[in-house]
Amino acid sequence: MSAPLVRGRWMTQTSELIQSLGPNDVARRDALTRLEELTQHASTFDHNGWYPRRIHADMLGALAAASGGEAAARLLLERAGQAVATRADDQFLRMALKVMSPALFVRSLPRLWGVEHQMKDAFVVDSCEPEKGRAVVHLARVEGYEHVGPVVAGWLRALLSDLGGAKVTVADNGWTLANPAPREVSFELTWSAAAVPVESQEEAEIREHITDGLLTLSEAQRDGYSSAPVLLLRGPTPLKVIFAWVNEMLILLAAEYEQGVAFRRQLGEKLVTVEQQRAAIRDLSTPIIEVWNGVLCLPVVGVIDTVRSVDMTTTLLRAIVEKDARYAIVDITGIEVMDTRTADHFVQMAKAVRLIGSRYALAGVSPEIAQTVVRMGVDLDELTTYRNLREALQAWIQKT
Amino acid sequence: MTTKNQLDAFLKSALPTLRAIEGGDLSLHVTSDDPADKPLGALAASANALVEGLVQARQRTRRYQRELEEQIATIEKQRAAIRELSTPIIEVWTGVLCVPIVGVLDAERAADMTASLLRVIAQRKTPLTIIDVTGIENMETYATDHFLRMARAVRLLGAECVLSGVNANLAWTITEIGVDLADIRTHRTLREALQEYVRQQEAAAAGTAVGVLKR
Repeated sequence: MSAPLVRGRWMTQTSELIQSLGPNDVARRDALTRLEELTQHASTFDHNGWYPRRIHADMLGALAAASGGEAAARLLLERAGQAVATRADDQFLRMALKVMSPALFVRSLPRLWGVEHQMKDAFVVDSCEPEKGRAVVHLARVEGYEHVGPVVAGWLRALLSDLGGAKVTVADNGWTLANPAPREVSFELTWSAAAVPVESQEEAEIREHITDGLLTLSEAQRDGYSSAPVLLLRGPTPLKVIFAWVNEMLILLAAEYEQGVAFRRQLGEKLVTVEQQRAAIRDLSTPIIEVWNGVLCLPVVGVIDTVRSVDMTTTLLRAIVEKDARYAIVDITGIEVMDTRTADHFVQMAKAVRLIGSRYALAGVSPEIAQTVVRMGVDLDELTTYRNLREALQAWIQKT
Repeated sequence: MTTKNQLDAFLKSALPTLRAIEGGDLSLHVTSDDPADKPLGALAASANALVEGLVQARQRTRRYQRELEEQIATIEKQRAAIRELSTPIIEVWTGVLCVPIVGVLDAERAADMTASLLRVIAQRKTPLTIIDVTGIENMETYATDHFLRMARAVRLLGAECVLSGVNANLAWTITEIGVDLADIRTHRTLREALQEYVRQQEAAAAGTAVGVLKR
């Protein structure tokens, strides 16, 4: 059996709660430190994604440890569950809760839980007596899921209180701070009579079908409409017509989702190409030609920035070593701008070349560049310069 | 609370809107007399939420599409830059152009290269062009063909064109595929090609001046 998974929202809501704790609380600091360890990938938690339950349990542990004592811990943990249940973006769930009767709610619990947690058959309804305003349910197989009891109690209470303004209580049994992960936790739910709608069998059925449709939509929304579940065409004819329309919309949404995914994938591929071409341009902007035995020429075209200057120097030095060159001529005939920084890059390059025992010269210094350099007051004394490549080369040939 | 009659009435009033939305008008809203905490009110609200969801999804898709188009434009621009950068033309000696070739040579690039080379030759009136193929590992038949065309085009302008940097591998390929390179002179290195040119110049100038090269 694979590890049980939980929706990302349980993690994000819990970590938000920890961060919102009182600023002067020493315990909060400890919890925050642990949280940071746990959520090194927090930025990648997607509310609707699936993550190992273990991460959530660890966060709850940090939260429980941050509170002083069992009563306070219970309160905080319940708030963590409540925070998930009251998220405003679950609009279809909100709508479904508004029209559910308590009996429908209890019956839907395994489904509501299943949307949030991949733990098969975990929620079990033991008894439900709507007329008495009472139900008992239990969450099975939660061993190792520390502190889940109060969290689910808070979650249930928040969901239940959405049902037509009902007065509700939820009691969980089994959890203590000392024994945070019993094998199962049971909950007793009670609600006031006001929450129970007075209606005929026919009306109850319509309510049930609409609730069912809304829950299906809520499930579809959780998964970004990626694989749109289909509303079952049940109930009286008008409902079937509306549900068929909803299914059409779900198909359109799924198609849009697919298109979006396709575009994003292509975008990813294009970004890779852009990166590769950027690298290619970098390489191409440093062509090195052996113009004579032991003489390398590096023609420079365009604009020189620091990154390119470093690239050029690295390539040039590597070529000098590889070809055992004794002389490097940098031809700047094709350069676009010559300013202090650019001049500086060439001085640096000259120093590096000299350090590995080769000579260095700048060729292609035009009258304009010469004037600019003088005006800027750049000290080019350290550089040997020539009017063009030919003169640089000729000087070398005559010397050797 | 919601009877079948109410459901019928709701559908009757909402159906034209639903059909219009289905037909593509996403600006429409379904209305119900019931508030959202009644089944029919919730039904209407959910229909509107679905339409809203679809509108947002479409906007998102369009944004991705725009970003994608921007990247495609960037790729085009980069490609042009690469084309330009891959044909550096350097005047290594007075009257001598050197065209070092790196990477893959396809028909498009060869055409680009020839065009810019011819432009420079016409501009600077240089008598010799050396195509340096040191950076090429293997040459395919069609690539050899590109060089031949390039060389002939250069000659039409009244200039000379030679090949340098032919390594053993390349020489073997050329022989293998039986291309006739008889009308193009080849040299082992750029230096040799250049040296020969300088020597010729020297010979031509002999008796009138001291040559630049002390051999």
